Amino acid sequence: MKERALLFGAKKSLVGIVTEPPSPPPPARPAVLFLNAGVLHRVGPNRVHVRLARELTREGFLCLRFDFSGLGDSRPRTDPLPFAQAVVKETSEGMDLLASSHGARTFLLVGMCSGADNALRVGARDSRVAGAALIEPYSVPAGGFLVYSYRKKLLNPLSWWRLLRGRSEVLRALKPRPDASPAEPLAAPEAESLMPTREDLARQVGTLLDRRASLCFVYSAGSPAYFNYLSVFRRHLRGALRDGRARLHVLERTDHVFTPLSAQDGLAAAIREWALAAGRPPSAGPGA
Amino acid sequence: MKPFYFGDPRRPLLGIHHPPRGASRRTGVVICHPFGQEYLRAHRPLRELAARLSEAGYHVLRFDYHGAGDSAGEAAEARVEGWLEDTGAAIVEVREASGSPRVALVGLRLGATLAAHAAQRMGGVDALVLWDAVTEGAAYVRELRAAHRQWLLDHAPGAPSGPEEVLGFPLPASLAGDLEGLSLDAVAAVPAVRALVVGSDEGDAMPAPWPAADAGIVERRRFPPAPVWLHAEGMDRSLVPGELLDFVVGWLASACP
Repeated sequence: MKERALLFGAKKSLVGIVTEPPSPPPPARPAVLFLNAGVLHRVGPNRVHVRLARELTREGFLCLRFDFSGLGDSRPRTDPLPFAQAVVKETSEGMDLLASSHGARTFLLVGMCSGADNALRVGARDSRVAGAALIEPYSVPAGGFLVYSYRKKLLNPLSWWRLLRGRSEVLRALKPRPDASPAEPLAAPEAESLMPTREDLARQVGTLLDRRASLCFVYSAGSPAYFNYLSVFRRHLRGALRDGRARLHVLERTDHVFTPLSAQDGLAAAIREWALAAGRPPSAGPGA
Repeated sequence: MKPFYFGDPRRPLLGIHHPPRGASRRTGVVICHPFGQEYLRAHRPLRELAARLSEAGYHVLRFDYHGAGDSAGEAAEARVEGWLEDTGAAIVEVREASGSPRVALVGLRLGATLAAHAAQRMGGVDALVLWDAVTEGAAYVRELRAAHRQWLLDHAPGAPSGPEEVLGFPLPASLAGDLEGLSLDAVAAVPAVRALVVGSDEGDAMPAPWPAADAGIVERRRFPPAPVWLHAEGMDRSLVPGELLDFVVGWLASACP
């Protein structure tokens, strides 16, 4: 396995690390791209992107982890392109890079938190995306969300003790915030476009499934993000879960970023199994 | 700015070189990152520091230790001795890039402790900046383990966890032992021509190392608390303490004009 650091994109301003397997992967095998999670740089939460990229490379996948403009080590864009559009353009540039350097034709995207939202956003627009691993995607507040989010706290004596001491997270969430004034006019459209709606999410997933892309949802059982699955995705995915186009992993006793090493092991196993299945030629069948 | 791998080809290190913008001072600055979760949270402010130093005319090298960030190796195999060798390799690299032996080291948290030890070992360091240095490794390991337990209690109750992990990263017994044996007290003399000791943690004591040193050699400065390495919302936003960064750049400009 070899790792190369490089600059790519229209202005050679995006920083990426390519991991190459010892022998060139077959042209039909998709390459894998890792997208930034929140504001963390390309190594990912708890360095998990590095682990996943290296494990997948050992399985014969070509991988790229990189920083979007303005994140990690990549320079901010100099044009006014909104971030939500920039991530689509820049992920496509990452795919272009691997297509020209290694002949990759199809791609799998791996994203955690906002990286999952961006993976869906890109996947719905770029037909080269053959699959996406969506780890703890954004949670859209909807009816029942508050009850869902705080259901465990209601049963936890520690939460009641904090409430009585005035240190409750629920109180903090309900308290009016000093910055609750309307957003600056220029920031509003950008902020709206960054946060997907329930309709956006359902449409993006539908587009990918119609294209027979392979989806892998990974959640922390205790996380608010899992509410999204229950309230938005579940009904869209029933058929896909049955016929194998989609997978669902709900990991217990972990947090949003998979801090316990045991949870990272579970996450890595889920992604590896999904990628191997997604990278298998269609004729090979499930037992190949 | 250029990303590249350097050092021993058996354990390549990821480096980010920020060349000087405008007139070069022909001086290299190596930035030494903290460890584990602190490394992730401090990435942005240290990148910003590198950008400001580059604007001020320095060759700046940020790098990841073996088993950390994008460098080769797994976290479970990391050792302090290897990290000191990595810091030495980064010094060699930045000297080559600048074409001059003049070099400064800037370290944050554990990176500061490693920078001080590396400076003592290598010699010839012109300036050293210790930013909220870890002064006692044993206390540091205890703090990490306590923070880990609290995090799990708050965010992942019931998660299986042993002593060999802290806040999402492996802490094998070998590395924990190394860290517990690490102390700034072991760097008896100021290992650079001049040193700056910066505090921005929640405490109010002036940072400790070399208390008897002449004020012309060791300058100490405390800033309003902005512990960038602890920022709890590390995934959503990061802190960039502009005043502190500008002070470090200005101090280096006087120490290494």
